[in-house]
Amino acid sequence: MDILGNLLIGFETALSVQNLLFCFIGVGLGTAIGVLPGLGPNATISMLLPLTFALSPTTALIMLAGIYYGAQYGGSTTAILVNIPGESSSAVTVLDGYQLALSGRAGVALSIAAIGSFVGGTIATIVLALFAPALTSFALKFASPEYFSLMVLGLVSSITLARYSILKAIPMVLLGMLFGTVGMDINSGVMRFTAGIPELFNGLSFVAIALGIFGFAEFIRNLETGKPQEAEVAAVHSLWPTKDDLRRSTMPIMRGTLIGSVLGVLPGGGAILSSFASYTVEKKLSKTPQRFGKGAIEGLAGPETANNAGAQTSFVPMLALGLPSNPVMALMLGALIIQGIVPGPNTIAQNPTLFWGLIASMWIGNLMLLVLNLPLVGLWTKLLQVPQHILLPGIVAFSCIGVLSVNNEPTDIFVLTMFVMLGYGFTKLKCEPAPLLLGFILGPMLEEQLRRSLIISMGDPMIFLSRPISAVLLVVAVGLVLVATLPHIARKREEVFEEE
Amino acid sequence: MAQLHKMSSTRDRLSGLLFFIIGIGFCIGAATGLKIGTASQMGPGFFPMLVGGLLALFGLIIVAKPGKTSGGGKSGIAWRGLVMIIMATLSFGLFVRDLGFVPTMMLTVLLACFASPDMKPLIAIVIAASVTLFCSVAFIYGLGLPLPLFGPWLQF
Repeated sequence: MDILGNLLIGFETALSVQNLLFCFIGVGLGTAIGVLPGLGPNATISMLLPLTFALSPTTALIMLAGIYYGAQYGGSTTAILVNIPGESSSAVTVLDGYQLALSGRAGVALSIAAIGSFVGGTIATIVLALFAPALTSFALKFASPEYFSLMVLGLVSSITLARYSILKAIPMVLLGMLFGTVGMDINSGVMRFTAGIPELFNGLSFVAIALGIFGFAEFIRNLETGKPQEAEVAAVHSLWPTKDDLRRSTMPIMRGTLIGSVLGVLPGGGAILSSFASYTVEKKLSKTPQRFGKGAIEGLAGPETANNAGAQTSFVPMLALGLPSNPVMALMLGALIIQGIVPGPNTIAQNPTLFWGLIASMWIGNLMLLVLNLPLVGLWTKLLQVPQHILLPGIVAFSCIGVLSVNNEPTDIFVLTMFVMLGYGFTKLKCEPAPLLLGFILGPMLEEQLRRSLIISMGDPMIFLSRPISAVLLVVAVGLVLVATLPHIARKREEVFEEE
Repeated sequence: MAQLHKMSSTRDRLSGLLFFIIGIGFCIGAATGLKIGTASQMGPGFFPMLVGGLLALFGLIIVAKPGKTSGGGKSGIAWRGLVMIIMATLSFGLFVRDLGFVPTMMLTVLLACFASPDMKPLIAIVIAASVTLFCSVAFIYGLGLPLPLFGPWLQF
C-alpha cells in the first residue's frame, strides 16, 4: 500500500539523528515549560518559536510538534499534582486527576494519563496518515472562491470556541486581519499603515504578536493574584496502576481516542473540545456517575486520551488545507510561513518528507514522553516548586532575545511591547486573543482569495453563493454562528468555559 | 449581582468603543492614503476599508448592546507587573544595539525582577547576573547572535 511506503519515508526522516535530537529537545523543553503553572501550550510555543527558525522546515516542525505535546503533557502534570490546569484542555483533568492525587494515587493518575495519551496519539497518528492525503485530493478541486469560503468557515469556527462572548470574538478576528495588512501590499507594492517606518515594510512580526498576546499577557495575569500561589504539590508514590485501574481505563481510552480523532479534524475542534466531550460521554455512560469529580479514573483516562488524539488530528486541516483550526495550529502555520512554506493542498505532494516525517516523529515523540517523563516526574515536581517570581525574569529575557533574533531588528521589540499592552488589555476586557492571531495569519490570504474571486466574477460578490462548494461552506459557517448563539447552547458554552 | 452585571457591561462598552475607534482609524487611513479601487479591481485600500468598516460596525453593536453574562473578574489590574515588564522589554529594544548585550540584559532582567512584589534586591542581582551570563554564552557565543557584548556607547 502507498501509505506504508510513505510511512517508511516518514520514519526514515524522523529517525535521522538531527530530527531525533530536536524532537527530544522539543518534547523536553515543552514539558519543562508546560509544567510551570499558568504557562499553557500557546505561551510555550510562542516562546520557543524563534529557536526553530534556524532549522530546516521539517526539523522545525518536528520540534514544534514536540513542544506542543510536551507542553500538553506538562499541563496535565500540573493539573494532577497541583490542581492548576496549565491550559484549558486540562481543565477537565483537574476534576478527577487532583482528587486521585489527594487520595495518594498521583503516580497512578500520571501513568494512566501518559498511557492514554500514548494510545490516543498512536491511533490518531494513523488517522492523520489516512485522512490528510484524502482531504488534499478533495481540496485540489478548490479555486479562489472556495478557498475564501473555507477560510471564512475556519475563522468562524475559531470564534465559536471563544471562551467569552462570541460577539466580541468576531471583532478580534477583524482586528487581526487589519494588523495583517500592515506592510507592503503584495499586489501594488504600496506601503500600508507603516507610518513610514522602513522596518515595518515586511509587516508586523508574527513572533512579537504571538508572544505579546499569548506569552506576556499570561505572565502579567499570573502576577495579579498578588502572592504567587504556593504550589502544594501532591506526593507521588507508586507509578504502577492496578489491574482494576487498567480494566476501568481501557474503554474510556478507546472511546477517548475515537472522540478526539474525530473532533480534532473538525475546524474549530482540537484538544479542548475533545477533552470536554470525552468527559461528558464517560460520565453519561458510567454506571456510577456519582464517582466522577471524586477521583474516578475513567474521568481522567478518557479526556487525557481524547485531548492528545485531538491535538494530533488537528494537524490535518492545517497541513492539508492550510487552515489552522486552533491557536496552536495558527502558531505552527505562522512558523511554516516564516520558513517559506505556505501549507495548502499541494504541501503533502511537494514535501513528502515534511508531512510523513512529522507524522512519524509524532509517534516517536509520544513514545519519548511515555518512556522519559514518567521516570522524570520527580524533576517536574521540583520545577513546579520554584516560585514564579524567580523564573519570570529569565522568561522575559529569553522572550526578548527570541523576538529580536528573528530579524535582528529592535523595532520588533517595540511591536512586542505594543502587543503586550494590547494583549493584557484584551484579557482585562474579556476579549479572546486567539482569534486575533488567526485573523492576522489568515487575513492576507483571505484578501488575496477575495481579490482573485472578484476578478473572476467581475466584482459580483454573488460568486461565493453561486458556486455549490463555496455556498455550502458559507452556509455551514452561518449555521455555526447561529447554533453557538442559541440561548440553550450559549448557556452550555458558559458552563463549559466556566472552568477557567 | 447587579454590581457584576454593571461591571461586565461597562467592560463590553469599553471594548466596543475600542473596536469602533480602531476600525474607523483604519478606514480613514485607507481612504486618505490608499487607492480603494473597485470590487473587480481592488486597490490596496479596499480590503482594509472593508474590514475596518466591519470592525467599526461590530464595535457599535457591542456599545449599543453590551452582554449580560461573562461575570465579573475577581482580580484587578496588575499595574506593577504591567509597568515593569513594559519597561523591561522597552529598554531591551532601546538599548541593545547601542549599550550592548550585557548591560542591556542586566537592566531588562532587573526590571522584570521587580515586576513581582516578592522579589528581594539581593536575589534580583543574582538572577540578573546569572541570566546575563547564561544568555551571553548561549546566544552570543553559542548560537552566534550578531550583537555586541558592549555597544558603541561604552567604547572609548
